[in-house]
This record gives sequence, C-alpha cells and structure tokens, in this order.
Amino acid sequence: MIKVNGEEMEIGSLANLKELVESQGYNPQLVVCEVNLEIVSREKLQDRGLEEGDEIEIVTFMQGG
Amino acid sequence: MEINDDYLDLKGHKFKSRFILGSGKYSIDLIKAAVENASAEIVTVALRRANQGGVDNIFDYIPKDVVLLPNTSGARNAEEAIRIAHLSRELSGSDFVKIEIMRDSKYLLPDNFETIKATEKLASEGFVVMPYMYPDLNVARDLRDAGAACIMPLAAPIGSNRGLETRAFIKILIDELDLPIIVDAGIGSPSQACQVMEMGASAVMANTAIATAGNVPAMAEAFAQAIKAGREAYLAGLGRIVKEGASASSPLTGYLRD
Repeated sequence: MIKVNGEEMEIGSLANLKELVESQGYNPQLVVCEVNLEIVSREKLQDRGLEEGDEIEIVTFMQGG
Repeated sequence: MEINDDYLDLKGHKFKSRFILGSGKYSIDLIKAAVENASAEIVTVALRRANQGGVDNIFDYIPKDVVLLPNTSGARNAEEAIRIAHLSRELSGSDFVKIEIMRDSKYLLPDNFETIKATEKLASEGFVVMPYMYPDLNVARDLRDAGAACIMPLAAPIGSNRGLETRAFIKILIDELDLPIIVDAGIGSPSQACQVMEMGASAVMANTAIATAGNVPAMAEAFAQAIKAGREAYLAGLGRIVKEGASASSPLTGYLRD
C-alpha cells in the first residue's frame, strides 16, 4: 500500500513514479512529485521505484493570490 | 528620478510594472486579458495537490513572459512554507516566492514570527523572498535582515476589499525601510491603490478587488492606471497641505473694484 495525495492505493503493476503519475492522468511536465517529503525531479521520475509505505504528493499550480 | 528609469527592483530583478496581479477566484479564461490590461509582469499562483482527472493547465493561460510568483498559502508554520517553496521552485523553475503563513482562519492574518523564520531559510537558499506580513516595524526590520527582497504589509484582511485600514503603520514602513514596500491584501479600489502609491509604496498586489469586479479585465486596467498615476504623483512630490484657512491660487491684487 502507498499513499498518493492522501489516498491509499496498491502499487499493483506500477514500476516507478513516472508510471504512477501517468496512470493518475497527470502530465509529468506539469506536476512535481514528492516522496516521503523529498522532491523527485522530473528527470528522475522513471528511476524512482515505488516501495510499500511510500507517501507521495503530486502537486501543481492553481489560481491563487 | 526620471519616470523612464523607474523600476521596481527585487534583488536585482527589475520590473517596469508596479502592479502584482493575483490569479485567484476568477474565470481562468480571463487571466490572459487581466494580465495584459494590468500590464502585470508578476502574477501569483498557489501550489496544491493535483486533481485527479486533470484540470486546466494554468501555464496555458498565463503569458509566457510573466514571472510566476508562487505563494505558500496553506502553510501554517515556517516548515510548511519552506516545503511549499521548494516544490514551487521545482515547478516554476524560478526563485520567486511569496511567503504566506497563517494560523488564523477567521481573519487570515499572517504569522509574522514564522514568516521571519521561513524568510531567513529561503533567502539563504537563494530565493527571492517576498513575505506577506502584518505591518510591524520591528518585524519588517527582521525580515530585511533575514534577506527579504521586499516587505508585503497588508492593508486590510485578505479578500476584504476594505482598503487602507493599516495606513499609518504602512507609512512607517515606507519611511523607515530602505526596501520595496509592496502593499498586499485588502486594497479594494483603484483610488486606494493610487493612495498607497502616492504615499511611496513601491508596488501594489491585488486579486479580490479585480476578481469580484463586474468586469475583470476592465478593473485590471483601472488598477494599472491608478497605480501608475499614484507612482507619478509620488515621484512628482505632492503639494503641501495648509492645515488651517486657505491659500489663494489667483492674484490677490488687481480686482475690479476700488
């Protein structure tokens, strides 16, 4: 089990962070990922495998003041 | 100073425009027109968890030559603000960040103490730190010493459109600090924006006043004109005030009478 943006989910067949991002419907160019409070740069998404217990945040910019 | 060499200088980054535009609370389709009408060179955005299924990509709506100013809204302490700033820098590719730290959800007043802590850390990491703060001279000096690029005192609570409730205290910051003072929050109308610029503020940041106007792009333009007029009045030097009585503007001789 991993946590993605506060929601629990199974790793299933996802091999790495890039696959997770894409499986959630996000364009990797428009989001930033943080795993267990550490930022994973865009170029490294593919290299970061998923591990049980990972807490992942996928964030982007929205309108704000 | 000549108006042509007049720039807002944030740690060596120079801007012709003195109007920082918020992008919140209005139709995303209007951002481009609002930015253009405002002649804004800096636009704020907020960092949030991505929505599943995808939402509009805000990058498509903000002109490319504009500097994105991510805020740390949602942060309740320095640690959370620093985390948001790091994520924002990764996403924007720029060092600009507006620190916004709040524990109070009724008045949304900034936590000055935590803001100083976050400013110190982020400035040491090379961020261009723009701290939103409650106008207090001691805190403003601490923020300057912590490496802030400017000071962003509130005029009134966020989103209130109530205008210059803290006027006297903002004036103290303008008089005492050799750092850009950018009045943020609460400015509700172009006349109020013009007034703080006449007082010597370096810039105005506004969002709700534009977002809640009848015509968003038209109000963005009205603000831009008011801010420009206020700046020019400040540079020209306001005329003196006569405390009592009057001072004739026409000659006091040569009347058509004996």
